[in-house]
Amino acid sequence: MLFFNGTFSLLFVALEAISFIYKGNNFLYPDAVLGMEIFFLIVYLGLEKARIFQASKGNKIEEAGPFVWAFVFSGGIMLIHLFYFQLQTYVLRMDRILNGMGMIFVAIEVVLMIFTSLTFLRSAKM
Amino acid sequence: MTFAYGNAYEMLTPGTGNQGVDVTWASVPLLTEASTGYVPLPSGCECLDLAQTAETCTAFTCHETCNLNIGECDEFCCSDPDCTADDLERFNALGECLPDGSSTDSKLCVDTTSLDQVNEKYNMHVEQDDNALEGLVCVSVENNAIEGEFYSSQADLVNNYAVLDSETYQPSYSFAISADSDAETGSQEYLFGDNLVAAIQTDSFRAAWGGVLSLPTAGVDGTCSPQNFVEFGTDVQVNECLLPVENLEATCTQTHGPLSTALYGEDLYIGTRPSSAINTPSTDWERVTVRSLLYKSLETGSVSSWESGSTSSPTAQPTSEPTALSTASPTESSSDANSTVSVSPTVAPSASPTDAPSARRALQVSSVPSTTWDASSGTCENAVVGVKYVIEHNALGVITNVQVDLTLSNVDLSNAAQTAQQGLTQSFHVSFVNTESVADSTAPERVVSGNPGYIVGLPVQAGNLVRQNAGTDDEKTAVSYLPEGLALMAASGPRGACFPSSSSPWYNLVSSTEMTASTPVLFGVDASSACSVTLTYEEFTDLSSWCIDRRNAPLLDLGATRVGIYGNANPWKAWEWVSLHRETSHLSSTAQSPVPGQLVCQNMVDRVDIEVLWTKSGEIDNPQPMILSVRAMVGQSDWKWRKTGAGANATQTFTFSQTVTFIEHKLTEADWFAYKPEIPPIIPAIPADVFYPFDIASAAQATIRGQKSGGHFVTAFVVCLAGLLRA
Repeated sequence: MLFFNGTFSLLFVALEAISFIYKGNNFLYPDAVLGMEIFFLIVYLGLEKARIFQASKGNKIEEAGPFVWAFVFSGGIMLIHLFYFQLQTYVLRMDRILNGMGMIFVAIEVVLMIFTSLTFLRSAKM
Repeated sequence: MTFAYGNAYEMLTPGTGNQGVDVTWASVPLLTEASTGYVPLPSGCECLDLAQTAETCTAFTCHETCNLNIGECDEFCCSDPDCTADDLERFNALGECLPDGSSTDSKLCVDTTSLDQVNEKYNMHVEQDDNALEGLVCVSVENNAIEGEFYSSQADLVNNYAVLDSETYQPSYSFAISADSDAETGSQEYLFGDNLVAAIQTDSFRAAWGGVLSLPTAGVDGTCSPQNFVEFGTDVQVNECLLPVENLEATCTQTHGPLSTALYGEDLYIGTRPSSAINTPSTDWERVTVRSLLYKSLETGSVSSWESGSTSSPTAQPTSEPTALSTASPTESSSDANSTVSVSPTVAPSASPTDAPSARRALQVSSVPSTTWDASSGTCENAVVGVKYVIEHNALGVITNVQVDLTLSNVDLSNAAQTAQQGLTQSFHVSFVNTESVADSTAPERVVSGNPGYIVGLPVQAGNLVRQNAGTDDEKTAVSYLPEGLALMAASGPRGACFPSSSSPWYNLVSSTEMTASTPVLFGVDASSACSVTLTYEEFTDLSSWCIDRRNAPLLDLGATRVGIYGNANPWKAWEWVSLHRETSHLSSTAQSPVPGQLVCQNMVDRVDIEVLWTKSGEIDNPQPMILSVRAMVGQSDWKWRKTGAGANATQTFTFSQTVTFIEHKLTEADWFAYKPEIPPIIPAIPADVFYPFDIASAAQATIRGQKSGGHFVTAFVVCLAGLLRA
């Protein structure tokens, strides 16, 4: 799941970047709003990379600690997806699809991380 | 006979003068509360810089420039606060709104096929078109940090007449005289421009003028053509034509003929809706009621109110010479001796000279005299020479009431052979009143000349300062404004004479209100107007009767002491008016008086030159012309008897004149300034009661906390998070 999410996040950033080029050329934006929305995409790239890394690290060392960080980062990623899904200035149909997929990825991973964390914590006590 | 010099925009109602309108004192602020100096912020405009007051604000924006009828909804003026929601709905149904001074932001309309949603941001507006442009969304955005460029205040020039002496303000020209010198049937409401359905009650109820209300107007030959129809919402204030009268008796006795009171009066019906048809119920028709009756003397041109029964046996009074019925038509040169009529040598019925609009509104005529033919005197009595329809309608375009002001006269043929006239001049006016306009209690209902800045070609607002409770704490000042605005004198007698024929010597008519004609002063239009006085040798040599200091000065009085700074100057706010300064300091110290031993009246006051200094104010992109000061320069000259023959029949003509010159105080880029509002804080201040009702007790503390940046961040984060989760 994390592997596909990593590929998806790159694809997501690439498509979103293309969509911002399209929006910047075709739509009107108030001052600084377009820059702010692109900045969120850069934040997303860094945050998503860190989240996947921490979740992957938790899997590999079989400890719940990295999952805690991954949880925190998941909150931020979810907010960014929500912003692009609903609150950005111009929401394209493509934005709905991409961010919907992104939120499904994060939601499934969060559920899996909870179960995995509980498993690691139980095995650590034994 | 009437000759108009200069721009004959609209002749005043003869005999009434340009009287000031009564002040509604209840709406006038107390002098202690009112501003006493120049207030740069005009009525109807908004100051962008909230830190400024009306007395100091020059960065203002005006978004009601199409609202020219205060107290009444202007057609297609979507920003007019007098309009109701129904009016706006009607305007929108027809397409677009008139320009109102709003800046045109950049706008982009895009197809919504790929676009799922647009969220408005600060300074960005989204218009979702759900009618004709279905599937499109339009986005406009204002990115400029500067809210506009504005003219700087020219307060030091307001009422500053001295600057007019500067060469900078003197125009390259001068008026100085040398020393010798179709109904849309089927529709439920009238739309703007629709013809009005009309019918007439004779033996049967039938269509009048082919079914729509006619407003006869001058054709190519100046004669009245009925092929001109009233258009809904379009006022007609100036409209005269010549009615050819080949057989006065036949024209007079014709049922519903062009001179008949029945045709324009109570036999006439107007359809309340375009769909009103002859066979529809009577409720679909409004009967025309006669609101007022006036009597016009065709001999003198004077108009007075009509008294019932006065025309049945008009008292004849000998006149020295026959007077032409009409010469105002441009086609008067074409003569037809067989079709001439002349004025009945009758006097106007004795009546109150007042004919103020308010008085006329109060009058409701119960019995309308019929137009009759008096065979014994050859007179057509009560012939209609003036018609003014007042049509009231509601906001939906349904006519609710139709009234008419009729001007009648007596016409006879007794002097036909001596006159070279072709007919009778008739005037036809119409005005529309929207009875559902939103009333404005802070200003009287009136037609303005711009909102706020003057529009070139509209009358200059003028009036006289009036006071109430002078010298007390309840003192108020206001302006009794002249509905027709500032006006110059104009000829109202034969061949350009200042006065109609009168038994009284001209120098005994010592008030400008006794002149029956005037020429309006239109903003931005330089004009000259003059009239003449013809003196016989006998009259001229009687210098002691008329060549007296200040004897004729009132003739040149403009009838106003205040001029509106802006076209929408509020009569109830005296500070929105500047003084009309009468300059006499340059006049000769020698008074107007005869020169001993000569036939000369020296220093005769015979002209007034009005100089209007104006400039622009407000936004550079939406400039509002304003008047800074007005000066009336009184001029004088020597009146000399030049005729060599000094017989009793010798005459010489002298001229009184008034001119108006508009001088622009030109503003360069050096006089502009850019208004840039303060940059708002990055994190908006959170109101102290943001957690109400969960946190009631700590409101005061919250205010203090809210000023700390840490508190801002925490509170903003919580609010944003709540908003995101709700979305």
